[in-house]
Amino acid sequence: METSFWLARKLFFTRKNFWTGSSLFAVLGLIMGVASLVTAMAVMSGFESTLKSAVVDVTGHVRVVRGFNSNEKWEELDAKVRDGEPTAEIRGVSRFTFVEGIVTHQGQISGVILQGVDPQQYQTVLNFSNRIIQGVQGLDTTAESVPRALIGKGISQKLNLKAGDKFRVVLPIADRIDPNKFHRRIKEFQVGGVLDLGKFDWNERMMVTDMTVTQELAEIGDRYSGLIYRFSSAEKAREASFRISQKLGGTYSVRDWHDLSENLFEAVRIERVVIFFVVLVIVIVAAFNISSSLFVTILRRYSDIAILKALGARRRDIILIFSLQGLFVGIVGVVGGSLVGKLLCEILQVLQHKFRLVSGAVYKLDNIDVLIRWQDLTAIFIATIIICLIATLAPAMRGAKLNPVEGFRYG
Amino acid sequence: MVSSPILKAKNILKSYPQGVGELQILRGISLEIFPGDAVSILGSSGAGKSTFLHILGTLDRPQGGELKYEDQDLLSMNDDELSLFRNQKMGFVFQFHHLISEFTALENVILPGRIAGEPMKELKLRAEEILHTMGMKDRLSHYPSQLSGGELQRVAIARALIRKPKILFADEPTGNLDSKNGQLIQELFFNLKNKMGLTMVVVTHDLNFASRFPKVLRMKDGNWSY
Repeated sequence: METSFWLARKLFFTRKNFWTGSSLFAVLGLIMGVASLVTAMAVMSGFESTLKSAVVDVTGHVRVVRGFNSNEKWEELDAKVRDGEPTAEIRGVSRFTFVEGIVTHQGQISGVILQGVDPQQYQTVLNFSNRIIQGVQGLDTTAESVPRALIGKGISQKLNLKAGDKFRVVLPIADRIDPNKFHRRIKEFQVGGVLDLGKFDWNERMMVTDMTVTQELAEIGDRYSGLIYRFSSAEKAREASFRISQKLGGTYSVRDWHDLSENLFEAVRIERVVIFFVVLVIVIVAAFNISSSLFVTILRRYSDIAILKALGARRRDIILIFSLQGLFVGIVGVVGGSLVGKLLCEILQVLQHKFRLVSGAVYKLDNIDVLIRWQDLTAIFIATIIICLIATLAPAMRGAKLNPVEGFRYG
Repeated sequence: MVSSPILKAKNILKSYPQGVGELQILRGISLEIFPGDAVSILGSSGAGKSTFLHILGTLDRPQGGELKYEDQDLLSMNDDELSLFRNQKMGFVFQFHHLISEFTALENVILPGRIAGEPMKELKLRAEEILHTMGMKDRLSHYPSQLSGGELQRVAIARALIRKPKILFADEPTGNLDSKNGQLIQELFFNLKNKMGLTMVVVTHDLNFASRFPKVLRMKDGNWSY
């Protein structure tokens, strides 16, 4: 083994032998293939990570929604949820209400979901601090007793609302005696801050305000929709969600951050696998170049192979020597391809901001934080090295089969 | 006491396909080589002497016959076993030096030892010593492209000797050299023979060189010519 390394290093890995002719083109082809793979996987991972962070920031880790007619106090529900759960895992809890309404401003209207949250608690479960693009995060009331609200950037653009602007929310309330009759409730709000909520739908439709204001506007008294929880990590939350759901039974709906956008996460997971294998074809094509380049090397090295065999080298020594060349080409390809891929990702990130490459209406996200993950790099490394080794096997075996006498004659 | 042959070839047949038929190169040739023998094989071009040498050296396989080293049947061995056998028992010198161009003189010499897995330090010392005795002291780190024809052949001889072979095979070792260098290589062979008691089989068409060997054999049309 050590001798084969020594021979391979001396025979192939000199500047003169490696960086000239067909080897150079084979390596360049592989670098481009790996770079494409790295970039494609980084885009997919970035999509998943951006989506995950948006979902976790805006919806929290776990949502427990209680039955429609329940009058259960939130402390009682919280106690049920916490029962048997490791105390250290639950990092925060907040009540919330969901109410649908219409926002009006300067004669324009837009349908919205008002998410009412506990102003003292919501920051322990939701994370808007990185999502504020205008104004501040506060949900307090102005000096003129106008409550402040946070709105998605889509609503802001559509209705031309900026931080500090006032707008109205209209709610249709069904009559208690005749549910076919409605009366309207109108309330004035001030834009406290504009949020980039990550997902296109939320930016277009979501508005966050103090829960008491929402309750008063919707005439629901002290009723709330459910509780939002934050756990020590998103993964712990998924495990806990299952346990809580089992514990609470069918009266409650328990959904974690993954369940809330399951179709998207599932689509990304499948696309990632498909894209990996599709783009891997480029690496396979590049491996054919390596194979043909190695065939040329073997023809050029006929007399060297002959002398090695005459001096005692076995078939497996010859196979190993040439396979090491393939391995080296693979490693150079992966390292070079990863660096070029990283560069492409940086360029993509810049272009994405400059030219709005991603349409939120189509992809749900209008910005993807391109992410190169170690798991993806490891998969690319392993796949590329295996492909390169397989590509070198045929020429290496051809070299190993060579009769020394033929090598002396034709070398 | 009569010693037994170290290498024994019997009724060796070798042919190559030629068109629809076969070109018979060796026609049932036999040879016994005893320890310490120095044999030269003479013959004109196409007589089959190089082919016979390659078969004796296990570099090629015959279509028929027997080849034994002491009591070992060499023709029943697979390619890897033969490679190991060559590495342990045989040394080769060819008409063209066949040195590896990326290796220095010293590295070319230690190559068989490296293949056998010998420790580098010990090998280097031994290779330096052999190259010193051949007057190559100042050429250890020179690449083949920096050496003259005679020097290249001396490095090739040193490479053949590094594993202390039982038999040294040489195929036209002076065939590619001018007369002065050819003479030097001839002297080197006989010095080594006297010093190390080497068993040697040398193929040559140089009558003067061949006639200096105690045993001179002539080949014609794939067999001995008496």
